[in-house]
Amino acid sequence: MTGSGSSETPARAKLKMSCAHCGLPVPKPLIRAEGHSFCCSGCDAVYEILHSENLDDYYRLREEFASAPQKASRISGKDFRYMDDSEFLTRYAIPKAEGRLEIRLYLEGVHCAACTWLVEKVLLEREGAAFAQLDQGRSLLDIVFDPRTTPLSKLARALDRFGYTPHPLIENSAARIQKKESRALLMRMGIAGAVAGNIMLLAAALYAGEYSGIDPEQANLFRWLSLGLSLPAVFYSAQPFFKGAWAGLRMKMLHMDLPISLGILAAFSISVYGTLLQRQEVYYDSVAMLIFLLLAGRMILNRATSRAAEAAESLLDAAPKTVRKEEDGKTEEIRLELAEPDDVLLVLPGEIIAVDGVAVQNGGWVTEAHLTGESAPVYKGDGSNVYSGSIVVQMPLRVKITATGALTRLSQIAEMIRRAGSERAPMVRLHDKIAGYFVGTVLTLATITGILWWNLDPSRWLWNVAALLVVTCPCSLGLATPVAFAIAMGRAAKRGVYLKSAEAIERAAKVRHAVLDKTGTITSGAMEIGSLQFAPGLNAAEQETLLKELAALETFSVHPVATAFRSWARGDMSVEDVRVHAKGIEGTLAGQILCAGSKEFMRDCEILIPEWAQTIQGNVYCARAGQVVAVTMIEDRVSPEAKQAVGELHAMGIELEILSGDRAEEVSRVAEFVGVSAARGGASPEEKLARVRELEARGTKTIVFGDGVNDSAALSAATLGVSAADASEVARGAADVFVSRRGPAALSELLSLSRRTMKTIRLNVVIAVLYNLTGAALAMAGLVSPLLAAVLMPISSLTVLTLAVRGPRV
Amino acid sequence: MNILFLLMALAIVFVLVFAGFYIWAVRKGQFDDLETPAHRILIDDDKKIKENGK
Repeated sequence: MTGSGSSETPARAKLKMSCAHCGLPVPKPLIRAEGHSFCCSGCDAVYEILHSENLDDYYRLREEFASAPQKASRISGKDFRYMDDSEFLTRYAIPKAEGRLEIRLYLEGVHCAACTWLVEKVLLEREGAAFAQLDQGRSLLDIVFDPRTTPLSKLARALDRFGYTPHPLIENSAARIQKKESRALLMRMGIAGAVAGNIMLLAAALYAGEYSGIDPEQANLFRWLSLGLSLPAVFYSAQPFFKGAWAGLRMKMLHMDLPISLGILAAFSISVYGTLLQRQEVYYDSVAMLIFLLLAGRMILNRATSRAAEAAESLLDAAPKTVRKEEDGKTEEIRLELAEPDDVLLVLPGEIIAVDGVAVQNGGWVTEAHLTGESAPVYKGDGSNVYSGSIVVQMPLRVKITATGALTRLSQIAEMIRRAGSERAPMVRLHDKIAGYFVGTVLTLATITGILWWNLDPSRWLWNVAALLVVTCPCSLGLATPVAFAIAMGRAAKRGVYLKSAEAIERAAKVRHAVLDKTGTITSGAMEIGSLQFAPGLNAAEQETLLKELAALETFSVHPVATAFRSWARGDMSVEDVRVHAKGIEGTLAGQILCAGSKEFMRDCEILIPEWAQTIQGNVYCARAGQVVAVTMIEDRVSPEAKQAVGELHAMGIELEILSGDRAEEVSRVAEFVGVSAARGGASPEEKLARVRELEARGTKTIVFGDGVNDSAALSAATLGVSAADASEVARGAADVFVSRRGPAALSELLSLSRRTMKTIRLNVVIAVLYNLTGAALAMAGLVSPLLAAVLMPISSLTVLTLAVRGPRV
Repeated sequence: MNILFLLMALAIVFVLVFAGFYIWAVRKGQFDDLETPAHRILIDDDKKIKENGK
């Protein structure tokens, strides 16, 4: 993002070197009259608009919330006219009363509460939206608008002007069902809770009546009232358990829902029978409380899961929906579906190419990190192939389409991922395994109790069997396991590790082998000057000036290597005639031509490598006025924490292996530094997948930690796939876990947290089983009354819950 | 004894009323986003202070 007007930038003595809008350090500031500096023209424009429209409060509010945006503002400058198409609106918007429409948009660049203020204020007070509500955590905006008076494109342009580029979000059916289920669960839980509370009041009166005497008429009334109140709990709230149990039975699988349903139904039917016979054995309070607690556990887990899944996947839907088609010198914004082979598209810097094609008219630079794992931009000359998902950098690129939609390379990889995922071995989950033993044991014990009491006292057999089924209902198990998972997921999320499902914890606890991708997972991804050698005869002051000049020149480059010089940029040097080449960059500073680039670039510029530089290891050569003046080695630094984390993983008994698409020598350098002996470079997506399949086939549970599309198939084939920070959308979709920080430290945290969580859960299982056995023994002896059952159940649940909540910390 | 019938009827009415409110709130999506409203209240306050200051 290098703006115009840099050559006349005045040198100012006391400049704040951070952007006045986004707060990022400013390498080569754009400065406006008031003395504010900006990192890019995007931030400048947003500042200008905010200032001129008296919305300066935004900055004050942001200070209050003490967070500055992490990214520079980017204004797409699209006209969003496609959003007014009736076809578009019928697909994405929901009709409301009085001809209004409701739509949900994903916004880029939302970072704190000040954004919520700005977005809602602008839409409601200035643009005339009927309703606007931003969910800050998920960057999702709900708007209601009247298409006749306020077209959606107008609202979208307003958002775009402030750097919040909107993307339509087709709520795919899975997400919509998920939201509906989440609400239904909440409803069931609330109703069960209300019912349980009221039945408990009546039950207290009944229990007290057993001891101090109660008018039988009144007791009868209370029982009938309890029966009435428990109906919604049993027949509405408890439905998910019955459905789960039934589904399990039909698939000939024993599910945890089966013993739960059995307990609920047994307790309810015996209570109804007791009410009809006017007996004291009614368990309405226990039934309602049981349903409420189990649903609460489920809801907590549901929230933790959906949050993590949204953090990883919300961006998936933000893929480009429109493209700029160029025809007869005019550009027109059209929907992606309408683009056809041989059309020429104009893609601006920072945008994602939505099609496969060939570069035309001089070509340009793209990063193909998502395909190859290599983060350095590649130059695409006239006629070379470009693939969908690549990001255009530096200058606009014109692409002639060869394939769209399902025919693109990206879609083919997505298909490979889908197949790899479906072939992954299913895992029998711990609590389903227990459920099997549980049902068997309970049914056996119930039979024994029945036969025993039939012979001892035929009038008691039914009541004792029912009491047994009630006390052994696995409430503590059904509650503690989801809560322990939810807590572990919450703790992990605080450390930037998002688990998409509870199953991921069980999978992670089983892992014995780790396959790491180098780029972005081990290294920091930030380039630094590793070594630096100046030409002989340069004094310290000259060396410093040279570094600053180099930094000023490199601000024009998007190559990652250029970022290594950023800390030297002062913004007080003007560079002219900048030309960016495939392997280097040149510009004129103070009348002298300065070049920086690879050895080949020096050769292309007809600059001789002098004798002193021949023996030096370096990848960036710098020449002034035709003479090499410095040689540097720019490296992707490996942090010491990475080395430590690798040590921790070894200590956990995890075998490590690096499998990267990068150059072999680079991979072995990193492997040696962090202490991993098995390392291989130059691996293709297919090779990665094959290696993971081989490991899994041998029974070695493998975790794959990667960030590119090239890792994605391996991610979904492995026991557990973890995608790293800045991972491509495809990789994030394919992984079970998404990590928002760099480095393998997150991996060791994830594995140790999972192992400790599973340990807690196993301990909980043991305690719950002991409680149930005690309860079963008492019931078989005929000692369990409804009051004892009502006391035993919450005590066991509470013990197990306390253990779950106190569970492992990260 | 009669007062008990009245109180119980009353209790049931309360249960129904609150359950009704709850159902309404869940349907309206009041519990969908538990985070942003906490921030939003701070911002609304701020606007009022400004208006009073005028």
